Amino acid sequence: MEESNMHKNLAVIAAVDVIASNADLLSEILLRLPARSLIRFSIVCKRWFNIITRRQFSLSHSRTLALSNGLSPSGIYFYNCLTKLQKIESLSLTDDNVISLPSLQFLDELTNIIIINGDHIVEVDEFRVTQSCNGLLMCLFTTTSDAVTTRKGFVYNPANKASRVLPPVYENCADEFVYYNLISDPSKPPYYKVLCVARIDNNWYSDIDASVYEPGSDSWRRCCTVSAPEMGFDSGVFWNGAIHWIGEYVSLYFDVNSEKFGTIIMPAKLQGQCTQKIRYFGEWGGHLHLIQVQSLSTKRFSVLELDKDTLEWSVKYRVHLDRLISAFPEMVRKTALHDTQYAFSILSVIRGENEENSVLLLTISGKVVAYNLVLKTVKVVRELPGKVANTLCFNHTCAYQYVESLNPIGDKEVKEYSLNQG
Amino acid sequence: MASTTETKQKKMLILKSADNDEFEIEESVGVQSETIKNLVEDGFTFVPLPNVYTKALIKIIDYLKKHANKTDSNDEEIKTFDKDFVNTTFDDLFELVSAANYLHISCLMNMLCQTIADRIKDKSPEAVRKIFHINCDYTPEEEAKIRKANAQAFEGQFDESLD
Repeated sequence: MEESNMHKNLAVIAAVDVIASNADLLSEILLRLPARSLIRFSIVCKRWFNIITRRQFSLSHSRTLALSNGLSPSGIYFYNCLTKLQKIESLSLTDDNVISLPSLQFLDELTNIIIINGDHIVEVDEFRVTQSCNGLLMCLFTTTSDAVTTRKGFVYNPANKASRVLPPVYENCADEFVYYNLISDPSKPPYYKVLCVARIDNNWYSDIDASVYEPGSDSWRRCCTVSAPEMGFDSGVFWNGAIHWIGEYVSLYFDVNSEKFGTIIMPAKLQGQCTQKIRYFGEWGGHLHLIQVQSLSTKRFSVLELDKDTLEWSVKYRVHLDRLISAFPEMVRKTALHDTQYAFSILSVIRGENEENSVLLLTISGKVVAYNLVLKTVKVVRELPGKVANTLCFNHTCAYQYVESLNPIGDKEVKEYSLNQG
Repeated sequence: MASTTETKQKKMLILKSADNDEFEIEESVGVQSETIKNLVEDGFTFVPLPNVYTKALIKIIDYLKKHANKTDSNDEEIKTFDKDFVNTTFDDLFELVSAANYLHISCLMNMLCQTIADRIKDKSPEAVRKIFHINCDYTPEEEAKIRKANAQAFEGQFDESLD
């Protein structure tokens, strides 16, 4: 008995030693953990820290997650279009004990990054998230240095705080005609790219020019120039291997592999005087959704989905807001012309694993609510600060998915959550 | 149990564990391990395994036998077997994973690594240290610094249990 116990202990000690000393074996186990667990386990010991923060490990981890369909969003960052507040909010969407998303209050860090990049005294004037793709955020910030204002593109991973300031591009174009879009495919190198689209003649009717940035490079590569309808090219939605943008009559896409533009016919335009008919355009779980409304007085609308094969839009869900409006009468607004309007902004269509879990996430006065698209039930998800503005304006994309990933972004070995910080 | 005549027809291998126990298995069962396969290809029929202890080896031979007889019809049975196989203590899992790694049995490695990962993912760093028999080599200041820099990853309640 004693002998067998001794053997058991020997065997356990031997096995623990093997795991501790064999980095490949330990990595095999760690690669299968979620990003959040890994960041937490970086304090287990220095050896674990060194493995987890290694660039190659981060890349393998993102790739493993991508190949096992593990890159589902665990939350969203969003702007509340209904208020004049420009503060970015966050919302966790998981059922477990994750309370919040990583904070984006990193203006101080930003200033550090700019100094590292060789500038002198730099003030960050404005900072905005414009898009997200598989765990990475596309951000824009404007800075003032020696009275010159510059806008820069910035790629950020909130999970491991990895970041990259993009080199300048289209410097002769006005900022309002330059659009940055992130394309991230963690399953294969180069893991992410940035597409910049610009109206080269600085007007809404001019041709658009596209350039691509890949990590490891210091400059942009020009792809093509095409004519394009009057529309914006920010907040592109990555779906089915292409970045999609929505316009009034057609939607445009940029195919990542062929690096060519294409068009998709829009669904029939809704009647009515409203200028902001497109209230939502976004992707969830491989589904591309579009919501159009007739007017600000609309209570009824459809959620459309684009078919992957035919590239045609069809109705996926029909929404009637009666129940929501009676539960939250503060949504009702009477205008001077005795018109009745309903104040809501659509954050996201969220497809559940089961159809009964598919919800429409909306902001209304002071709240985020989830409207179940199948069961037609309503749930308050959280309270929100700020008062609804007098004039309603909308953005068809105001929520940005948060996907936990260790994508290291930079092309150099950087210990992002380093011991030697500061 | 195979009959005597059958046993004679099949090529057999002898595996010897770190604690000097010997096990006779069919070659076709053994070669699911890349390590054993390479030795067999070099003409060995006696395979000493100085890194694999008897207890783990018995379980692994069970696993290899079960998986060698994989057919379309016993899929469910193998799933149940696998589920029971990994339903054990962390110490046993570590022994098995280190043996599977030495023997290069990739499907078993995948299953064991995934099981360990799933069972630790919600645990506290302190529990993980105990489970992996790791002594923390950070100073309290160093540890506090990493915690502060990644505050969000430390929010919430974590599982402190060691099983």
